[in-house]
Formats: sequence, structure tokens, C-alpha cells
Amino acid sequence: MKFICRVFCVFALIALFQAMPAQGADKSHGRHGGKPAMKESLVKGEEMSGITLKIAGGEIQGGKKVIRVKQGDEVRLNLMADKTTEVHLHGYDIEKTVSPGGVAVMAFRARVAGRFPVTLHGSHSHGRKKSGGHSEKVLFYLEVHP
Amino acid sequence: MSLFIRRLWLAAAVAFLPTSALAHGFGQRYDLPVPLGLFILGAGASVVLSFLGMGFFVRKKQESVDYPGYNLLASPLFGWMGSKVFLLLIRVLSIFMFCVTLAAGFWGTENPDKNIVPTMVWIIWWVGLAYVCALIGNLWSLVNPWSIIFSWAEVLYRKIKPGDSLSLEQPYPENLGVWPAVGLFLWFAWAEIVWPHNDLPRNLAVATLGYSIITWTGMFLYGKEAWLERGEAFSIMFGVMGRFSITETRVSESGKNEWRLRPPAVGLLNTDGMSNSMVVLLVLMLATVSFDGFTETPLWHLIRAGIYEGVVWVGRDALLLADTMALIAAPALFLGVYYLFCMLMRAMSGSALSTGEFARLFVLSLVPIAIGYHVAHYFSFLFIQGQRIIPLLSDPFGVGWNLWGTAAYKVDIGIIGAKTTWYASIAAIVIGHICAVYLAHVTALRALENRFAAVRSQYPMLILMVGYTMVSLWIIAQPITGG
Repeated sequence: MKFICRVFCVFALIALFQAMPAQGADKSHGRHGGKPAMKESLVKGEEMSGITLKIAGGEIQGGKKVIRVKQGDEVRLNLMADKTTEVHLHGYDIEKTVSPGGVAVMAFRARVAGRFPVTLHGSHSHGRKKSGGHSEKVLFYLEVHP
Repeated sequence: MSLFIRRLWLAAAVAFLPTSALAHGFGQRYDLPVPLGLFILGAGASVVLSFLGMGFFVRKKQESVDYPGYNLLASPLFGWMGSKVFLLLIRVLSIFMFCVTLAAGFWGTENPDKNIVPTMVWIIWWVGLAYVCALIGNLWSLVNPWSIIFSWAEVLYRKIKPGDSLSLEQPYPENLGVWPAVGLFLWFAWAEIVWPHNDLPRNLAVATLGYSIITWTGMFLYGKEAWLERGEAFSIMFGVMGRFSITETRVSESGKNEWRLRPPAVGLLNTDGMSNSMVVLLVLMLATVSFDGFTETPLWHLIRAGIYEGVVWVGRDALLLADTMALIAAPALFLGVYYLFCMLMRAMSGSALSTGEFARLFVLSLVPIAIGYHVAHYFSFLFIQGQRIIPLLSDPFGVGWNLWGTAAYKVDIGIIGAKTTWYASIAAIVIGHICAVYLAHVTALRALENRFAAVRSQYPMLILMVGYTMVSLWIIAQPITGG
């Protein structure tokens, strides 16, 4: 009995160390058809003038990002696009239209913690019950940490 | 499944918070991935408490099936919930909401955020009612609209033909088991997880109507109770969840209806009427709950892309096919793993019972893990997105009404903090795990004659349960990825 208990302890320890929740090592695989997966990169939301994001071809330049801020931060997102685009920050429910050549600014206080998708509004805005619109393309995620 | 008539008297009033008129994002979850530290804590607690449980539970053998209970209807505080008037009121309310939902689906706006149907189906019913059934008691058996309408139709029919039955009362073919429910639940799981545009009101209304016709046909052929126990997938599912809850309904020796408070999870110890088809149905339910969460992880999107590439030649519906294949593979995988561990349990115990018998005996003990994960997964969702019902109650069709004055309410996404959600999620999963371990131990002690054989049989079960719990913890530690 004791021996088996030891075996189990070893097993449990191995199992625990195998557990590797992804913390910032997200891989985005939204595209199909053999395109290479892009690694999500972290952008810390500390810059004074805000974070600048360029949208080109329906995607954020440089791959999908996860922008992390702390709860209570003043967030400023400067959005630029190659064509007229409607960008929607879910949760906080902020929508901005970005015109080519201009900068649309989303400025708000990150009062609620969570992981909020920022999507591109396409011609159709409904999809599945989960993710409020699977057919809405996610540009990046804003993570507000408590 | 017991033939006792189950009714649960519960206050139908649920404290809904103010509704919010979110412009978009029906069905979204904004949960942050559970941090590594909490994950390790949860995993460690599950393992340690399992060992402690092993040491503690094996000492006691429960001879009797009885457990303590207290009849709430006997108390002045809850007694009124047993009155015929109150029960009728609840049923009328349920039918009213059912009709409003159907009507809004066919004649209301097609915008899922402005129509009551998607919120009613996916949030209030699928998540909210599941919470109530799993934690408090099987409310579904009281409010099941198909059951109520059939009963009322029979009452009317009997006014014309007294003594006759609305149903043909054909004997239900017993070797069919609960396979109809398996088929129906699989179809529902597909609708929930794979079906694109399952947030469109009209689609949901049509699906509901279709299911109603199937249900009433089954009731007409075989009798209401027989169909509810064999073919009506949701009655079976909510019934199983209700077995985990802290209340049950019983008919006492004197014929009185009782609503008894009891310890949690003990309802799952009753394995009467367990069949192979029931094992499949339960594993399907468990797998669906986990798969639902899995489809929001980055790993799933990786796998999905891989499957997609394999079937892209199909053309336009390739993604749908890929998702459907995964939906069928998940319960198949679960079933395979479960039977494997049943084989191991049998081998370790040296029992004369077959693998199939082990499978039938122990499948219910896995339910608390599924409930724990379900509670964790939807915790903040229910508090945040559940708020939508308030503005929607004022304007169910989305045409600009304001019946109760709440149409302008805005959902407060900060109602539940991120840390609260984390702690609640970990707690729910760990508690579910402990209940599962307890159930499996008690079952083993009862089913296997030799106490040592019972203990040995639990080693594989422990590994299975720890593994299953780890999967749940892993999923909530993943960043929600919509692709």
C-alpha cells in the first residue's frame, strides 16, 4: 500500500509539472489553408502616448497581439488602417471608425478586468452564440489584469 | 430511472440584475485565463484531497442507501411552495415564457442582441437552469413546457372522452434504452457547439418547434412518463444534474409529496435502471460540457486547422465538417478512455463483475466533475450576460417596447470581479472532484464484496478522475480564443 502511495505521489508531481497553462504564449490559428501560424506578441500598455496599431489587409500589422494593462490604467489605443474600418472593443463596447490616413483613438479607463476581443466589423455581424460573432474577425485581445 | 413523479417546488423568481443593451457580443465570455499559481493550487488540492479521501473513505462501509433529509415543505418558510396554486402559477409562467420565446423567434427582430430568444435559450435556460438543477434541485421537472402542455392537452381531451388517455400507451421497446435521447442530445450538442448562426432567433424557434413535435410524438406513442424517462434528452440530463443537488422530491409513505433537503451528490449513488445506452448518454453529456470549453482554447484552433486541411476538398462546408467530426470524436474518445479505465478497475479488483458492469456502476460518479467544470466555465458569464434578460423582458421582440421600464438598462460587465471568478472556478472544480472521488469510493465499497478489492479498484479511477479534473483546470487556464 505504501509503495503504491509513493508511486502515486511521483505520478502526481509529474502531472503537476506537465501542467502548462499558456501565459502569453498564445498561438493564433485563425486562418486556414496552410498559412503559417503567427505567434501572438505581448505589448505592455505602459507607453505614455498610447499604443499604436496599424490595420492592413484586415489584420494587425505584426500579427495578433495581446495587449496587457492593469485594472485602473488609462488606456489609449491609436488605430490606423489602410481602408475605412469599423473597430469594436467588446465588453467596454467602444466602436471607432478608422479612416485611411487618419488616427482613431480609443481612450478609456480599464475599470473592469477581463480579456476583451477587439474585432473588425464585417458585412455580417452575427455568428455563433459563443464569441458573439464567429464571423467577426478578431484583430487583437485587450487583457485587463486585476 | 425511478418511476416516481418528480416535481420540484421552487420560487421561480430569480434575482435578475439590470439588463444592459450591449450593442454586440451575444454569448461572449470575458474571462481572463486562470493564473498559473491558482492552477497549481487547484491541481494540488485535487490530488492531495483525493489521497486524504482514499484514506478516510475506505474505513467506512455504507450499508444502507439512506441519507439524512429534511422535508422543506413541512417548514412554514417553504411550505407554501407545495401548494397547488403556486405550482400552477409556476407552470403557467413557464408556458407563457415558452410562447413568448417562440413568438419572438418567428415575429421579432432577427438581431440576436435585441431579441429575447437567444438569451432565453442559451443563457437563461441552458446555463441558468442547469445551475439551478445542479445546485438547488431539478426545477426542469416542474417547468418542462412539453410535459406541461401535454398534460393540459390530456386534461382537455378527457373532458371529451372521460377515462381515456391522450397517448396510445404503446409499450416502450425496452431494448431501445435511452438511445432516442442519445440521438437527440447529440443533435443538440451539434446545435450548441457547431451550428453557425445558432444565435439567430428564427433558427432557434424552428429548432424548438421541431423538438416539440418530436417530443409530443414520443409522448403520444409511449405515454408521457415513459418518454420523459427514455427519450426526452433534457429531462434526463437535468434529472442527472438534479441528483447532485441538495434537494430531491419524494412521495412519502402516506402519499404526501415531499421536497427534501439532503446532502449534495448522494442522489448520484442510485444506479437503478442504469443501462449501456445510459452510460453512452452520460459520457456524451460529460464530453459535450468539456468540449464546449475546449473549443475556445488555442490548442483547439490548431487542431481545427489541421482537420480542416484534411477535409478542405469538400468545399464550402469543410469547416462545418471538421467541427462535426471533432464533436463526434470527443465523446468517442471519452467513452474509449472510460471503458479502458473500467477494464483496469476490473483487473485491479479481481472482481467477477464485467467491464460493462463497472462502467454502469461508476459513470454517475463522474458527473460532479462535469458539474464543477460547468459551474466554473459559466460563472461570470451568467452574472454578466445574464443581465441581458432584464432589458429584453421589457422588449422581447426587439421592436421598441418598454413593458417594465427596463429597456434601456446597460449590462454592467464589472459586476463580478476577475479574481472572484478565478476563485469560484477553482473552488467549483476542486469541490466537484472531491464529490466524484467520494461517490466512486462509496460505490466500490458497496458493489465489491471484498474491501481490499474495492480499494484496489479505485486506483485507476483516481487516475481517471484526476486526469479529468486536470483537463477542466487546464481549459480554464487557457486564454479564450475566438480564432
